[in-house]
Amino acid sequence: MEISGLRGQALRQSRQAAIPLRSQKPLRAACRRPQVATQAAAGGSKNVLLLGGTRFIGVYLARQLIEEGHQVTLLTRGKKPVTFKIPDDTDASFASYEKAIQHIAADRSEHEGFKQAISGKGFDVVYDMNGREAEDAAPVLDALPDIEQYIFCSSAGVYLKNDQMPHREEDPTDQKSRHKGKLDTEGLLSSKGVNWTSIRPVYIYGPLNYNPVEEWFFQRIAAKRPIPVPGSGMQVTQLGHVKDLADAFRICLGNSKAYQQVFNISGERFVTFDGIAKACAEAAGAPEPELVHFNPKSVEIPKGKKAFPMRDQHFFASVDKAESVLGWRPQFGLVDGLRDSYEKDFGRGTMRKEADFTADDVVLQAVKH
Amino acid sequence: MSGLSFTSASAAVQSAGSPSFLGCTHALRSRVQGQRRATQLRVVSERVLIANTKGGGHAFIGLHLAEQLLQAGHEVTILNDGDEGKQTKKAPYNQYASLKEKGVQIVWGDPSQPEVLPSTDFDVVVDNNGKTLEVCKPLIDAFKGKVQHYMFVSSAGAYNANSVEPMHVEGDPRKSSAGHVAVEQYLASEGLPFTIFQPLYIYGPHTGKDCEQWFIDRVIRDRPVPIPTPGMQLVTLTHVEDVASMIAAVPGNQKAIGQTYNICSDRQVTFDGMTRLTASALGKTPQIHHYDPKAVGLGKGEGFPFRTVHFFASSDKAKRELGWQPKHSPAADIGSLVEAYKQSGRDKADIDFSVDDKILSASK
Repeated sequence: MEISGLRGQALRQSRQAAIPLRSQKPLRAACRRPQVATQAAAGGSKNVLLLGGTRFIGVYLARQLIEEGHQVTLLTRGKKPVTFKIPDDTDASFASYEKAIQHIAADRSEHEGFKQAISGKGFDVVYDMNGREAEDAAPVLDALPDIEQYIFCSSAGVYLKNDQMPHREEDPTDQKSRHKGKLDTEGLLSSKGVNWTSIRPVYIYGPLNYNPVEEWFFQRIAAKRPIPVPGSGMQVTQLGHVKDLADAFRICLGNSKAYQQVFNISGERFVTFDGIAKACAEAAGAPEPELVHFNPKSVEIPKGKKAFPMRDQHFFASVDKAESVLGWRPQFGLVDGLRDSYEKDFGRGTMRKEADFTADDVVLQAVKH
Repeated sequence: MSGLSFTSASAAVQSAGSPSFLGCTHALRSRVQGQRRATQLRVVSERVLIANTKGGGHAFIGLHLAEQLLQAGHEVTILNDGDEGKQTKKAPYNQYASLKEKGVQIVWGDPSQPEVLPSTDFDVVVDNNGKTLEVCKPLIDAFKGKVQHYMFVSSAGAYNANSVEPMHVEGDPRKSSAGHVAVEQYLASEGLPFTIFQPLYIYGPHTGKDCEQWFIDRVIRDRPVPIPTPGMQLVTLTHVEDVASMIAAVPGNQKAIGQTYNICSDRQVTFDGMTRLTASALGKTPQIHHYDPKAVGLGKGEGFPFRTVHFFASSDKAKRELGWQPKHSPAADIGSLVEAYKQSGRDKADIDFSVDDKILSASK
């Protein structure tokens, strides 16, 4: 079955990817079944409002939704162009996307103007990709009281640190976490009687990523520098490809099994800190990197600089709820996913940030003594 | 096994009557409609042979599996390795009298000499004994072509350790030199209708091997707990009832034939975390002492009950394909495990802490 456009391309490319780090992949074979179509696609197209997410997740999600025949409106402040060609576009797919996508320019923080801009447009479903606090969601709910579904991009960062892992959706959350606003938003949605769905990603990666996840590693690999890793490097975390995440968001559309539910979304496998470095090198076609383990307590990192891009702790979540309830499964494994990011983005020399090795040099000096 | 109604099956078992079913005909088979799960099961009363080991972490699987199979309406025989007089003095074998009362036939003998069995009329064989082809082969050969289902309780320890993606998933590379792997390959090459299980560490009632007890021994006596550095290694600890329930779910399930399943909890704990959970259950402050086993000059397996790398696995395949769900986790169970420890009187026992002392003085 020929799957067109962006998803088809991603599927074909992931099939062509070289053998990943683990020499087996029974999961890969299972993943190659056709993408799960949304129930909405079967039932008819939806009028979708996408709030934010026009830099990363939403870029892929909007394309997927349009391909599935839905009407999609992006809401941004309008400071940057909302339609731009991405590495996964073909000329044809971008042309049809550009033609179909709609846009409203408004500022979420200016509540009255914002509410006016979105009401009366017949939106069926809202994807809230950039809401941070409950106050961000409240005006949306006020303006659209009859919305069929509110799908929210939360974060697995809300989970309370736990001696038992992985994080599961029913686990206690941390009222003191810096993602507390996401928790408050979930609470508000739950109290309002709207059909809501909350997605909690772990670390997201993929072409166009503006957070220094894989970019940090690729920069050091490109510079042939040793990679500083705090502690033992055995810390276990999890990377999820942005296209798989977008896919999960898409599958929730009009899906009653997703109503009033929270789903962790990320890669199926967990990875150590040492492992991310090695996988990035493999994805970049580079030799195995030199890893320098350091004790974060005995190195003074200059203020404002980070010695490592991730929280120094185990941080991973089970995705089996989304798999069993939604029928979602990630298409990318770790190395082929990183290879996709490398080949479409960072390996082309495109970076979001200039490489900054200040903290690295401090660590390397400290470790010598 | 909740939710399955076996009135006619249990009637059949009862009318088969007495413990000495050997020699009696097996016309008694009743079909019972199973509860709808991931796959629609029609559960037939099977004649199950469990070949059981004489010690180690797997030993009590046989006991719990027998109990669950009985509840599901199957007929159970255990062929247990070792000497009856010697074995029945300790757990789990000291519970076998109650199994006998429930109709389980227990034969004492070496499973690598299956001729000790009075009969080979079984539908299902579960090898919870062998770790090498030498020991397992005779049993496989005796039942090849005769059983509907041949199950092997293998070990997740035979997966290659992977420092990049440490969680073991079915199909991952296994240690080619491992005895278990040779058995798995033989089952496949001989064309048996097999299901292979990969368990990890197991805890629960009537165990023959310490698991959580190691932590409780130290915390309850206010001793420091020596943990191989860095202490954040993740380990899966699984309750024996969850292990038994997965194996017991398989007889009669055609989809499980030719498959391998990890049997484990869907939760992991770190070494430090297990210490904290234990301390919390005892109302004590944990004293964690990290050390490097190599620097202290310990032998392999000395000083700590678990292997010192990450050792955890995914049981998502069993959840998807068998409709199995674990009911336990270490955090949920630690309270009752601590109670069981105290009730056994072990808190008053003299424990040998000489290796601990060696570690503590060498790694100050």
